[in-house]
Formats: sequence, structure tokens, C-alpha cells
Amino acid sequence: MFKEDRISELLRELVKIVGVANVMTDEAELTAYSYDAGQSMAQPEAVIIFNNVNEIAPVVKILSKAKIPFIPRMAGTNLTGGVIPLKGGVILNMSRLNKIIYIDTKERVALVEAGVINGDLQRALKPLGYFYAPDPASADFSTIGGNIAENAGGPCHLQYGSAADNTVKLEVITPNGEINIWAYNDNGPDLTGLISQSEGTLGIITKAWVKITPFPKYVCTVSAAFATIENAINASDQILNTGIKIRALEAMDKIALEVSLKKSFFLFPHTMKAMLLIELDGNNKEVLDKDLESIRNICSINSCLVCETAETEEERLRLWSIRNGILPALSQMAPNIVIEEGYVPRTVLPIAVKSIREILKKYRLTAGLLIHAGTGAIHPHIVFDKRNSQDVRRVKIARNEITKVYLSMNGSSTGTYGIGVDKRVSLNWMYSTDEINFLYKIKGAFDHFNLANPDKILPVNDDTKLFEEVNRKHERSVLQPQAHTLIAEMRYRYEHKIKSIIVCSGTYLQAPQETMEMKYLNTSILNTPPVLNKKNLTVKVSAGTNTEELRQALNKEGMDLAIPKMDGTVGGVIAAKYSPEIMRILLGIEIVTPSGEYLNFSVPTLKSATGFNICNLYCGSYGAYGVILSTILQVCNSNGNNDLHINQKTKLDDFVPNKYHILLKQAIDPNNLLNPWIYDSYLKTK
Amino acid sequence: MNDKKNDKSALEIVKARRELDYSADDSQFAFKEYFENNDKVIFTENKEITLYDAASQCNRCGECQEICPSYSASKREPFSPRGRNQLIRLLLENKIKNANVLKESLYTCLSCGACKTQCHSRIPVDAIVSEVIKLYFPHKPGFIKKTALKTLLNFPLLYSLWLKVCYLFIWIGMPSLAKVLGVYSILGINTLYEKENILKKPPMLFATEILKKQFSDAHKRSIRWVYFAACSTNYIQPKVAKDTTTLLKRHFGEGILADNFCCGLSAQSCGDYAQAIQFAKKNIERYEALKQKFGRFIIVSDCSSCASFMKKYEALFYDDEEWRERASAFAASVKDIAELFTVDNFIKLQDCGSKEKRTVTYQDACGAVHDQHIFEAPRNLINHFEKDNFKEMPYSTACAGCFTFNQDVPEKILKITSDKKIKNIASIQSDLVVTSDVCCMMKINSELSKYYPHATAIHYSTYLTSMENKYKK
Repeated sequence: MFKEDRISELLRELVKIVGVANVMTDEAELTAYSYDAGQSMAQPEAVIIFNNVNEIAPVVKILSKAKIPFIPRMAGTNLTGGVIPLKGGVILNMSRLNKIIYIDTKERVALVEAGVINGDLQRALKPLGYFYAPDPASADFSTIGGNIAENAGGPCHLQYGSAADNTVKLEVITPNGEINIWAYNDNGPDLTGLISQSEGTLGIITKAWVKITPFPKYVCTVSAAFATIENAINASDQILNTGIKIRALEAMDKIALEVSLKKSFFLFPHTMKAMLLIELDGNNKEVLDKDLESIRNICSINSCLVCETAETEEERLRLWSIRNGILPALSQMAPNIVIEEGYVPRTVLPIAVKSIREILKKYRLTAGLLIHAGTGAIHPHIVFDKRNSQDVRRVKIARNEITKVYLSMNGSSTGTYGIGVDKRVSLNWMYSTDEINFLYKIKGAFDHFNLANPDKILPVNDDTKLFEEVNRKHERSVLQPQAHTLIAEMRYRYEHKIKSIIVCSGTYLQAPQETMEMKYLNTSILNTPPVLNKKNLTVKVSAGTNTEELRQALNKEGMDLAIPKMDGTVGGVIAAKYSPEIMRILLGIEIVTPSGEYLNFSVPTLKSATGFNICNLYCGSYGAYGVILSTILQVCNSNGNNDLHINQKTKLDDFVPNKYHILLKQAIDPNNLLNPWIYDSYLKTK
Repeated sequence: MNDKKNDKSALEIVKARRELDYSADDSQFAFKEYFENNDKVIFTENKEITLYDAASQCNRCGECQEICPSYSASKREPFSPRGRNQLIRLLLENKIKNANVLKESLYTCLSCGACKTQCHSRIPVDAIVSEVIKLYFPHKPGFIKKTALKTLLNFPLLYSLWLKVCYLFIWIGMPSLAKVLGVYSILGINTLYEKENILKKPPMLFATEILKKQFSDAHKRSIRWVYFAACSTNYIQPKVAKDTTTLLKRHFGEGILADNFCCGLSAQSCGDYAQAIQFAKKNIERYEALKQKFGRFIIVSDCSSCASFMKKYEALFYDDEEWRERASAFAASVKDIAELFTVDNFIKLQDCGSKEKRTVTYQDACGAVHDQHIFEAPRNLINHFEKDNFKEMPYSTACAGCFTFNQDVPEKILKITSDKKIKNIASIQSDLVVTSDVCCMMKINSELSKYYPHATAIHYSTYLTSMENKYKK
């Protein structure tokens, strides 16, 4: 009932580590850390500012001992309230940790501290001829640590992936104050990916080894105006299906264009209702020119009104200024602006846009829509007046309804903005109670006392009404009979505490002999034919499908998988993390936990940041965390140049689980029922 | 009766609040009805907006942070434009009860206006901050400063004499005595500058005295321009004034010295707002007298801080209708030297830039770029002269760390800010830095002489004159 002062007792200890000037509890400081770019607010109890990376771990240790929540914060530019201290506690301000430690162009890696501004790294890389691929709109003022924690991305995401895809290794301080270094190609479950979009709820990223990419020699941009949004989206679908490597593919709707172009709007045909910005890059001018030609053809087939090509830097910037001018122009239309985000499968983009427009009309709101047509993201920029209670209310209701639109179209409520506080309720609408409980288990394994950025990402209130609605509509949980049998079997074994050896084709996992205690559980029965969605460039595959057979089937359709050649089943390749490249194309996963719960974490969108990154967690799980039922994989157009090679093969024999692998195992499979021999000795010694 | 009315409206507010579906998410939504008494108007970029409206436009996106000198020096949120906006908003909403909480946050603002340029909603944080300081922390400058200001206002000649006595002390090697007399503390050059030897060789003849004969209004019938001698040009860098008037004469024909008073910025920046208004009034009166005599002309200042301040004169008189109109007419004829010349109207020169290899860069004066939005014109001209020699430095629009707009900024923040500027100048291996503000130029020069003596900073007028002399047909 009363606010208790938890900090003053610790003040002396904290001051000893960081110095007297760096622990702040005055009102101005606390107030200034009570907000971020999202819509929430709450005051911390203290703010600690670090001048050295080494100071963080001891401070975290003290705080976790005293059970005081702590929230890492750098630029504080995230849009969903990810750094709001909902339970009070201490803000760990790491924005002074902004050293670029080294840039290694040979290994194509840069080591940076978490507080390095994305734009500063880009400027440092530019003279060397490299760039850091994640390019969120906030690149000039957001930090790399924040980008990774939110798994941010921008227009270049389409070709180069998001922040998590460009992370090689992370130094993470876990909530108990331990320093860990995890790499994405480590043996065993991928913790780098798990930390990457956890918004500081599983640990604090202090240093990151990030991938750097050489600048392409040529970059060309095409803008194409269309009379309807459907035409624009059709054109973009066809462009992506050609297999041409697209750097960025953006779409804008009429209102966005009107506000951005202002007086120069009349320069375009008056029937223009949508515009596409298509950007290509490459080192071969001839290939690029050919690709440009075919893109222009596709645009004209889809009755494009005007098509402009920019080849010089100036022209390019002029075309991009149309898109980049939307936010500033909208900001000046009304006192406040809120940027909403969601992902839908690309194929339903026109319907989603239409529904969103209807909602906006219903609530009499003005908004410009900015669409990443390549990835299926829609960003309504809604303008309103925050001081008008009616406005605020309308915006809130409209935002929720828009989120429901995304979800009802089998999309995801967020992708690059994170979940934070503002969007956590939408997890209820996406996931069943079992799935949310599973996410809670993961959080509990890392952070038993709920101290690291508490109450973020995971919903605190139960609101599952929509979940049932949405799922009934889309029959998300329709399973093949074999899967039902498997789940029933696993439930039986869970109840009778029978240990299982998960085997599939037996390519990767050399299981011990079947004994009285351990029984085989064969997953190769999961072999329903794959479902290819050619327009959306995804394929849903059962775990028992052979990888090469799948590839052959895809090749017949003119598609391919962007992974090296691998033997064995899809489930086996993923569970063994035979090659870390598989994580790049893994979009969704359906699993059965050791206790026989069916969990569906599959969204057929290019990016979905809802909850923790479960897909990566099951890469390298060796069947010890559960059974993979099916996956959604990204496919690409086969143009015969699959020259990918496996850089590194992992072997189960080399796998030594670290503390957090074991903690996760204990949380997910407390009785050690699945593939028990892997963790057996470690669990016992513990 | 009145109480009852208040009760009723309070009830309505409570009702409205209940209507909102309250969760942790939206506890911060405030209601406009609450703060009717905070209708203080600020005047910015020809737009009137109440203080509260301006502050609450902030969407907290954080785009202003990295370019803010005080934030990037401290990396602390209260020292960022976003932080200041939020704190001010909460203060106006009575959620922060004690205004002193904000003091440090407000006094660290350099008022450079970089955030204004960056902000999508164009929130005039500098104007908001100075208005709040005016409202909540009324302070008067110290005795010496106050006396100096009064002398400057009422007895400019006496002030010149006083200054000359000080300069004499410096010349004869007794700068400490000059410091005691302290007259130059209001020129935007306080003890910090003194330490940095800006006044090593102070001029014993001021610009107005040098140019008086040449540009007096005695025998002239019509003029095209009036030269406004800024304090820093007049009393510290008369050479710049000489260059500017030479340029003006050559390009625009006849003109005179304005015989003006200080623009008032020096009074405003040390907190004496009433005095600033007095200065402004005197200048406006002087302008009107000249206008009656000569008709139309432009007022040219070679100090961008002064020019930007004079262009904002209207803001000083927002509650005085008569003066406001007069101020607006005055402001309309003010021109910054940086916006005056373009490639087309400048004298044609021959093969410039080809003769020597050097790197020239342009430092934007805060007053020019953030208040007057002068960006392209000087760059185009320098680029035209220098060809490949011109190179844009990183963060060229960022403040260099002089404090013409706020004299109370902590030294530490200025130090980090100017260090960054020198780093950026050095990063492109520049030989010459051109800028349109005298204080800015002096600050950069004194820092350069310490850390990167290879380069020098010169005023835009000086640069243009030297170009003209060198490459004239």
C-alpha cells in the first residue's frame, strides 16, 4: 500500500561501483525516465548511468539480490513502451557505452558496445566500403543494443534480414548478474536468437558482434504509380516471384502520398492511389539493367501509370524523400502522431489495407499508410490530439481493432517495434493459454524472480476471447491425424512418466538402445505433403519430410530453399541445427511439449516478433525440449544459383549444455522425459 | 458560485476519466480543461502557440536527442530536448509541484535550436525553455553585468570608453584588472573566453569609429542598405565589419552605418528580458527614423545570432499590439549576411579554386541554420569558388559551443560540445572553416589553436572579400 524506499539501503553499495554522480534519484531524473516513444508512463526509483561495461554486472548482482527490478535503457526510442519501469525499480542507462571496439572486414564482423548509435556505426563503416544492414527509420538516433533487443529492421530487411539475423555473437548479462557470451553458431539451442528480441526481459545485451555487409556497387530505385492499391500489391507480388533480389520494396497509399508530396502531387497522374518504391542492388550492371527492365515490364502489365527510374544518388534520394517525407508531413498536421505496426501475409495486403481504412473511417481518424510491400508490414501513422480525451479514446480503440485485423488475417501484431507494454495484450489474441504459459516458463528459466524488465512482452491479464474467434475462423489448430496420435502418445507417456527417445530418420541423432525406461518415439510418421503458398513464398512442411525430397518438389514448382544441401528430415535438420543457416528461413514452428501440449508458434509472415523467438530456441534442441510437428519455411525462386555451402557442421557429441540450456530444460521438461541422456548427467550434478 | 462551477467541471473531468478504459497504459493522458491558466503564448516562426500546446506536441520519438549538444555530452534524458519538453509539460499540468526540479535541466539548454530543425513537429524547444525560465526563474544579472548593460543602453559612448580602458589594461599586460572592470562579460564573452586568449590583442579602435566617415548618413540621399554593427563585430572584430561593408558597397551600392544599439540578445541571454525589450525599442525607433529619411532599405548584420534575434523581435512584444507591428516591420527588413549573396548576384570571378589545393568547410551558425533556415546559400557560393576544395564536415549544423543564446550553460557541456566540433573539423582535415557568426568563429579559432592549429576559422564576409580580391577579373 505504501511506497517503500528500496533504494536508499543499497545506495552506498551502488555508489561504490559507479561513483556518486552516476546514481540519481532526484525528481527531474526519475520523471525524465518515465517515458519512451510509446504511449505508456511509469516512474523508476533510481537511475544509474554507466561509464564502463564492467560496472553493469556487479550492479545487476546487487539489484537481483535485493529483488529490485531493473530495466536496461539506451536511447529510449522504442515505440511500444519497452523501457517503462512498470514495477518501479532501477533504470540502467547504458547510453554512454558507445565504443566501436573493432571492425574486422576480413571476418565481416564489428564488435560494438550496446550504446553505439546505429548511424555512428554506419558512418564508421562507410569509408571501409561496408554497412550494417538493419536500417530502422530511427537509425540515426537508436542504438545497436536496442535494435537487437527489439529485433528491428527497415526497408533493407527484405534482402539483408533484421537485427537478429545480423547478430553473430552477444555478450549478455543474465538477471542474476552473470556475464555470458553466446554465438549463433554455438552447439545446442540458439540463445542468441532468443535474447535478440527479448527486450531485456531475459538479459541485458552489453556487447554485440554484428555482421557487416560490403556495399553493393550499384543501387537503382524505381518508383511506380498505380491507380489502385491492388494493382500495386499485385505488381509487388509478381516482382518478388521472379526471384530478382530486391533490396527494398515499399508501398504508400493515397493519403500518405498526398501529405508527403503536397504541392507536387499534381505532377503525378490525378488517378494515382498508390505508389511502389522498388530498389535493387548488385555488383553487375548488366544483370541489374536486365532486372530493372523486367520490373518495369511487370509494372506496366499491372497498368502502372508512371514509372520512374533513378540511377544517380541524387535521383534516388529524391524518390526516397517521398517516402521519408510522410512522417514529418503527418506530424505537422495534428499535435500528436502514433505509429502502429503489424505484419500480414503479403497475399492479403490489399484486403488488410481496405479493412484498416474502414476502421479509420469509422473512428474518424486521419492516417497515412506506409507499407513494406516486400515483407508484408503495414504502418498506419495515425494523427490525433493527445489532450483531447475523445481523440485518445478513439485512437486506442482503433489501434486495437487494427491489431485484430492483422491477427484475423493470420498475421502478427508486431514485427520490428517490439511488444513492450502497448502490444502485450495482443498476445492473448494470438496465442492460447498453453502457449503463453510456455513463454512464461522461458522467462522463468532466465529470470526466476521477474526482475529483468518485468511485465513486458508477456500479457499480464487474461483476454483470450479473440483468440478463440480468430482461431476458429482460420482453423489454425487443424492437425493431421498422425500428429493427433503423436500428441496422445506423448500425453500418455507424460502421465506414466515414460521416457522417450525421439527418432526420425536417424541421420543426426545417434540414439542409445531402447530400454525398459526409454521408448522410441518415431516422428517420421509426420509426413503429410507440404503446402506451398507460391504467392506468399512460404511452405508449410511436416517435420518428417525429407529435406532433399522437399527441395525436389519445390524445384518442380520453380522454387527452392535458400539453404545448403542437407540430408535427413526437416525436423531433424532443425533439431540438430545441422547448419545455422536454417534459422534464416525458419518462419514458424509447431511443437509438442514433453507434457503433450500442442503449441503453435507459426505465423506465415516474413517477420513476427510476437513473444520470444521460439523457432531459434528449437534449432539445436536435439529433441530434448519437445517434438517439432511442422514448420513454415521461406522459399525463394529457383534460378539455379544455389551456391550455398555448409560452413560449419554441428555434432551432438560436442554439445555441452550451458547453465541456461539446463535451466530451460528444467523449466520445459522437469521430469527429463525427452531424449533424457543428453541432459541426464548435467541435471544430476546440479 | 464560482466554486460550484469548479466543482461541476471537476466532476465532469472525473466522469471523462472513468469513461476511459484505464489500464497502466494511459495514465498520462491529461485533459486540456485542467490547465486553462497556462495560456502563455509563445511566438515562433510567425506562428502563435500557447506554451502548453507547444510542449504537448512532442511525440517523444527521440529524434532530437543525438543532435542536442547537452544530451550528447551527458547522455542523460533530462538534458535532452525531449526530456525538457516532458518536464515542462508536467510542470504546466501541475504534476511536478516544485519548479526547481527543472532548473538544472533548463539551464543546460544551449538554446542552439538544433532540436527544432530535427523535430518532425517543429517544436520550438528553445523558445519554450526560455519562456519557462522567464516565468518560473526570473533572475537578474549581477551588478557589473547590469551596470554594463545599462551603460550600453543609455550611454554607448561611455561604454566604449569603459571598454577601451579595459582593453588598455590587457595591452599593458594586466588582464586581471580588466576582469575586475568586467564590461565585456556581456558581450557573450565571459571569463571562459578570457582564459582562451580571445582578447589577446583587443582592438583600440572600434568598427563604428573606423567606418564612421565612409558610411555616414550626412550627404546621402538614397541608400540600399544599412549596416547593423553587432557588439561582437564592433567591439572585438572590427575587421569583419570592414569586410562586410566593403562587400555591401561593391554589390549593392550606397549604404550607411545604422548607428545602432545592441540588438538585445546579450541582455536576454543573461536573463534581463526587460532590458532586451528596451534595446529592441531603441533599434526600432532608429530604423523608423532612417526609414523616414531614406525610404526602403535592408538592414544587414554579419552576426547571425543578432540577425536571428532581430528577426524574432515580434516575440518580445507579443502582448503589446502597437510595438508588435513596428517590430514586425523592422524584422522584415533584417537580412543575415549569409543569405544575402548567391552565385547569381555575386561578382563573377575567374578560375577560382583551381589555384591551390586546400580543404574548406562551412560551419553553420546556430542562429542562421536553425532560426533562419539558411543552409544552401553560403554552401553554394563557397562550393562555386572552391570547386573540389569544399568538403562538408560531419555534424556541420551542430553548435560549436559558444553561448550567445544562454550564458548560464555549464562549462563542462560547452567543453564537450566544442571538443566534438574540433574533432569533426579535424576528421575531414580541413584547412579553413568558414562561419557566419563572430562568436562562433572566435570560439572555433581559440579551440583550433589549442588542438588543431593547422586550421583557422574565418568569417563568411572575410572569406568572400578575400575571394574577391584574389580572383577578380
